Amino acid sequence: MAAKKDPEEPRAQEVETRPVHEGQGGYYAPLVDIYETDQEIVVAADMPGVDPSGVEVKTENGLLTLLGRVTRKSVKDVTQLYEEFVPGDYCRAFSLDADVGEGSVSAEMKDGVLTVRLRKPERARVRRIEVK
Amino acid sequence: MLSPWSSDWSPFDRLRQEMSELFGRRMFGRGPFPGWFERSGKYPRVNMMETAEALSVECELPGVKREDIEVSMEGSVLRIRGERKAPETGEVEYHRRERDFGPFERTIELPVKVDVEGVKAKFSAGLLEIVLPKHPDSQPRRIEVKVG
Repeated sequence: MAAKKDPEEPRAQEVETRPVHEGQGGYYAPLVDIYETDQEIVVAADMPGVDPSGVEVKTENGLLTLLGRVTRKSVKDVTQLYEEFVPGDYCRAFSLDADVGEGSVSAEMKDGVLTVRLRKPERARVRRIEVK
Repeated sequence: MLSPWSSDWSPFDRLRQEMSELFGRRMFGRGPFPGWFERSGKYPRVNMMETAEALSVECELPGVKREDIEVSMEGSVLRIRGERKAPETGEVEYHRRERDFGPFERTIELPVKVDVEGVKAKFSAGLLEIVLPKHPDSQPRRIEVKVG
């Protein structure tokens, strides 16, 4: 039987604990979902306005950093009528358990969502054993 | 910025928006009180800009598929409606859930008359952009001053 990790102790501990909107000049912390399967940990972050070319994903010293740069359009002679969101770059960092950081990492940017998959190294993967 | 002519943006809506900023996201979109959010869904954030030739509306819809977005015009009202469906993950264990899924709808009263036939909508990188060219009647017209 697979050992279940207590949901109270996330494997990806967060460095920042809540999303913060810092507005212009700072970064927005994107909203994320983080979930775990037998093979990998998946971090999905909402970054609307970011193209694949604007993404940077780094794992370094047990820290996973997600960065998304928004492609800005130049606007001239424009009057802003409503402004419910101010375009800005996204950044958020998570600290990882050592064993997760060692596996391979892949990232995909599609429709404004950055999905990062961290494969658990062999020894950390859950192997389901068939009971005969 | 409050726009007095907008039927969609009453002071109550603004208060609700600010409250949902404080509470909504941390409560995974359910809100702190039952029925806090309208049953019909959430309001995606919208920006609206104006140039001499057109109105332009932008809306953040990350993770939504193009086929799940419906943009329509009814008279002077622009409606953006659709659904953000949760991705298929199967049996997984969540450590954090901040993103919100489900139906959404916004209606926006347009401040000027637009040329409905010329309205164009583009969706890319989770951002919906709608350009509404102004009707000729709404465009500024220079009136030549003749010397009499």
